[in-house]
Amino acid sequence: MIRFKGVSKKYGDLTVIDNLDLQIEKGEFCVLIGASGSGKSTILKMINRLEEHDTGEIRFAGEEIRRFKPEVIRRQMGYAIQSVGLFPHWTIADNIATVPRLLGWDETRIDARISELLTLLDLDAVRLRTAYPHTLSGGQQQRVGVARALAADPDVLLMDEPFGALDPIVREGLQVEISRIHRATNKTIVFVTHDMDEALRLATRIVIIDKGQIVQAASPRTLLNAPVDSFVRDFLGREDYGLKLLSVETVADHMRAGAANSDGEVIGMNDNLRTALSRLVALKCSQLSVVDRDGRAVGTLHLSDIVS
Amino acid sequence: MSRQFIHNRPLVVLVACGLLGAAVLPFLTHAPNRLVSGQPIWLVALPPRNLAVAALAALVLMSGSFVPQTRRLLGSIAIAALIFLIALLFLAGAEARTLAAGSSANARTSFGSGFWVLSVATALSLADTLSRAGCSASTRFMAGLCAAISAAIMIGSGHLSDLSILKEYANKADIFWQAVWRHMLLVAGSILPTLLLGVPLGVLAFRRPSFAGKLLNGLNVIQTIPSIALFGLLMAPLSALALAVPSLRAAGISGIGLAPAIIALTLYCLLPVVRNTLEGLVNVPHHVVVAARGMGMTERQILMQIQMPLAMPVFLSGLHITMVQAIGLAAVAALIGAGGLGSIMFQGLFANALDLVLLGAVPIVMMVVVVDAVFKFGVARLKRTGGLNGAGE
Repeated sequence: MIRFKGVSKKYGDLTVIDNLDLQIEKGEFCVLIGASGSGKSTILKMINRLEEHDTGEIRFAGEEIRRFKPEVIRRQMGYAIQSVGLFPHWTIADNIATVPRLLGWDETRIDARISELLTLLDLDAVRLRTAYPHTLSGGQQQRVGVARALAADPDVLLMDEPFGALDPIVREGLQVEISRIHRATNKTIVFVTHDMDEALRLATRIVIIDKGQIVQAASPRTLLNAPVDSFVRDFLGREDYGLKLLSVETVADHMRAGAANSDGEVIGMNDNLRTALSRLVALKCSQLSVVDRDGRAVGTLHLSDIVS
Repeated sequence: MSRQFIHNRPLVVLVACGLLGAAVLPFLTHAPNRLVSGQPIWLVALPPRNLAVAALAALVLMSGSFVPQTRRLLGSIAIAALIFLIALLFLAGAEARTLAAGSSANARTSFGSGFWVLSVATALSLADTLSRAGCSASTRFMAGLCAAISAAIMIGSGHLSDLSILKEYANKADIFWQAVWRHMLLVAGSILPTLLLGVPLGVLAFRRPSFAGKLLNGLNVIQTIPSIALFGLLMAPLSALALAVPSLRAAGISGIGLAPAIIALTLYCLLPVVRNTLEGLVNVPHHVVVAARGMGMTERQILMQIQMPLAMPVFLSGLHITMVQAIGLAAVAALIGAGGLGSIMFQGLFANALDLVLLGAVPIVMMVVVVDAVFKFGVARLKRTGGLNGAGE
C-alpha cells in the first residue's frame, strides 16, 4: 500500500531520515515508535507530503506520490494529530464534513455520513452536531478529530500521536475505539507514538525508529521475544518487560479447554494474559474460568498456565 | 465596625465634577453679536420651574453612590443620567429662547464651559453605570439612540433654534450638508483603497516575514509624518503629474483638492489595516492550519476558509481604528482644499466664531460614535454566531 525505498531527508546538514526502506501492507496497523527527534513523525508526514523527501521514492498504491498533487493525495488519507486542530469557527458537523465537502459529495450523503461517524465514535449525535469545538472536552474533541479523519472513508489513516495529550482513562477508551475500527474496516493505519504500551496494544507491526533509521520492524510478539539489540530491549523496558510479554499473549492460547466449573471469577478468552494476571492478583485466587464472547464457559486458566 | 459609606466611587467623583462645573463655570453665555465675548449665565439662575426635572434626576445621581449597588439601583441611576443629559440640552434651548425674545437677531447664546463639563460628566456616569450593570452592547446602543433621538426631536421641533450653533447651521445649511457628504466621501474614498491594498499587503506580509518587517517600518514612518506635512508633500508631485498627463488633469487630479487628500488618508490608514491583518493571521493557531493542510485543503482554501475568518476579530479592530482615524484626519484635509467638515471648522477658527467650529466638530464626533457602536455591535454578533469565543485555544 505504502512503500518507502531508499528515502532520505535532510534539514540543512542534519540528516533526519537516512536511506529508509519500509513497506506498509494493506490492512496493517503499523505503529512507528521512537524517541523525540528520531524522525518517526517526519516519516508519517512524508506519506501525505506535509514533508517532502529529498532522495529515494515513496509509492502509494504503486504510484510515486509526487505524481499526485499534494491536496489530491491528502484527501485520500485520513489525518489526525495530537493537538486535534479542529476548526474553532465551524460546528462539529462542519468539521467532520471537511474532506467530503472538498471531494464534492452531495449534502444528503455528507449528512448521513456525519450521523454514522458520530455514532461510531460514541458521540451524542443530536447535541454535538451544532456545537462548537470549544464546548467539548479534550477526549470528545479527539473523537471528533478521528471522525473527521475517517469522514471520506479513506483507505489509509495517518495518526500523529493522536492520544498523546489525553489523560490515561480517556486515552484507553480511544485506543479500544481505534482498535475496533481497525478490525471492523480493515483500513491501513500508520500511527506514531512514543508510548510502548500503546504500540503493543494497537499494532499489528511495530517499527522502532532511531536517528532516522529503522532499528527493528516486527509484530509485537516477535519484538518482545526477539529484540535485535539492547536499544530495543531498553525501549521495551527493563522492569516491566515480563508484563509486556504477557500483554501480547491471549488467554485462549494458554487456557485449559473444556470441563469448566462455572463458579468463581471469569475472564474473557480474548483478554490478554496481563489482564488475567492482574485479576488473579487482585482477587487473590489461583484460577479463573474462561468465557467466550457470549459468556459461555469454555475452559479454565490457572496461575501456572500464565508462565507456561 | 466598618460600614461602607460610599458604594460607587467613580460616580461620586463624576457628580462632584459636575457640581463643581455647575457652580464655577457658566452654563451658557449670551452676547449681543458673535464677535464679542458673552455674559455668563449660571445654571442656578435658570427659572426654577424648568430646573425641576433636572434637579430630581440630579438628586438620584448624587444619592446613588451611597446605597448598595443592586442591579435595579444601577438601572435607576442610568435612567436618571439619561434624563439629566436630555434635560441639560432642553434647559439650554429653553433659556436661549427666553433670551432671544428680549434681544436683537444678532444676539448669540452659546453653550458655556459648565454645560460641557456637566454633559461629559453625565455621559460618563451613564456609560460607567451601564457597564457596571453588565449591560449588553445592544442595551448601550439603545441608550445612545435614546439620547440621539431626543436631541433630534428638540432640533427638529425648533426648540434649540435660538442656540448659536443652530443659528450658524441655519445660515449655512446648504454648505453644512455638502460638507457632511464630502467628509463621508473622503472617508469612504480612502477606506476603500486601503482595504483593496491593505488586506493583500497584510496577507503578503504574513507569507513573507522579511517583507513584513520592511513594510511595517515604512508604514510606521508615514504615520510619524504630521498630516499637514504629508498633504503638503503630495502637492508638488501631484501637480507635476497633472501637468504631464492631461487626461489625469481632465479627471480632476491636481496638487490640491480630493486627490492628494485621499492619497494621504489612504497612506495613514494602511498601517492599522495591514498590521491587524498580519496580526490576525499570525494569531491563528498553527495546529489548526496544519490540520487543514493535512485534510487536503489548498493554500487558497486555507486562507479563505480558515485563516481569514479566524483573523476577522483582530482585523475588524484594526479597521475600527482606521475608520476613527480617517474621520478625524479628513478634517485636516480641508487645508488643501479637499472640503469636508474641516472647512467649516477652519472657517470658524479663522473668524473666531467658536460656534461655527462646533458646527463642524459635532458631526465628526457623531460619526465616530456611530462607527464605534456599529463595530462593537458587529464584533459582538460575530462572536455570538461564529463560535469565535473559543478561537485561539
